[in-house]
Amino acid sequence: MNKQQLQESLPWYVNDTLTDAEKQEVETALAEHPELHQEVAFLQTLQSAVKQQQPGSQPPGEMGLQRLKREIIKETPSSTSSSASRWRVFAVAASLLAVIQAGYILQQSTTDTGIVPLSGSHYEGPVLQIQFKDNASEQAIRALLFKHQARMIDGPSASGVYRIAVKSSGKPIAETVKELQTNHNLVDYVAEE
Amino acid sequence: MSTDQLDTQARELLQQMTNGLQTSLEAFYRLFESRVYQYALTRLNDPHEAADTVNEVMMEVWKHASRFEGRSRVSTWLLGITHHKVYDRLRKRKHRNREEDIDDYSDRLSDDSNTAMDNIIAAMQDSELIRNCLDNLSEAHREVVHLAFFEDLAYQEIARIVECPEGTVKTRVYHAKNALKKCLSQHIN
Repeated sequence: MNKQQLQESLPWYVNDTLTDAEKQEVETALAEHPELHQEVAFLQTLQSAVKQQQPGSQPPGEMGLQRLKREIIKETPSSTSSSASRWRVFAVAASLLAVIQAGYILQQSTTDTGIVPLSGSHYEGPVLQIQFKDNASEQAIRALLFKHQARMIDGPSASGVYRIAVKSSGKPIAETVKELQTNHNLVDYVAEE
Repeated sequence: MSTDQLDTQARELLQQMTNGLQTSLEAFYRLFESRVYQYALTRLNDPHEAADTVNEVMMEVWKHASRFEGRSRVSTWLLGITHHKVYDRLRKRKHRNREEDIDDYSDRLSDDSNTAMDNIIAAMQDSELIRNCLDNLSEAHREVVHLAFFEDLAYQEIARIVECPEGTVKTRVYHAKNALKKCLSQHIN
């Protein structure tokens, strides 16, 4: 390694991203060019100074995130008009809430004492995130959740994702996820939280 | 969180985003917003444009999360997207490329004596001075200095982000370093 190559390698020696072999090569070359130790010191000080530089302004933070979410909603394509799609999400949500309040989804065994109103903060069992097809009917969703002993606990998010809690039954939750995924006409996406 | 842990988490979030999970985008945004912003601000020198760039980059990630092939760290891929978005903005600004000036400038630089180097290193304690000298670098030089010393990236990763040969990255940092020394020396004298 000649002196020029050594000088060009020193920044990566200083930021510790060289391979072991490269580092060894640099250290051997530095022993032959002790005048470059000051160069190393300069680069270390530069690294420290760059890291300590306070930005003149702060990143947008939560406001930036909200702006991004608004733009995603505007840009999200749908098979019908975007406003009709949004109304469908709201309509399904409203129907589900009505059903929940009527007690249909909170189906528990007679021996289960863990029944609590949805308005409470307690729920049992693993939680999944699920997104239904745009054309999924409330009746079909209700039947699906009843079949898997699941209940809505949150949602929808801006992109139509719900959170459901599945009653603990000894069956691995991954199996329940797979079973839900087989309902291609109803379920767009489901995964463990 | 270590770099590896961050990368693992980011990969999981990207995978979830390919399934349309917006909560994962939110988590991803919070993880990387500051770094994307800092990098954009380094080159654009305008907080509003840097904020707009963050928005564009995250939108790009949301739309094309499936394009991440896993051959690099997520952060490298992300900064590469940021590089392109910033480049588009700079092209619109039609800024003069100052690289040639910096290269010529460095050629006239004589070797500093050790004493002068001690003074230069001492001068770097002045954060205002170092900021001024960094701001006086060309965008290309400021960019590689940021990626090398703020992000602590390897020259191979930087080459991937800025899409130039590895040798060019090393040369740019070399010339940027010399330009900084010259700027600091001028203030000392």
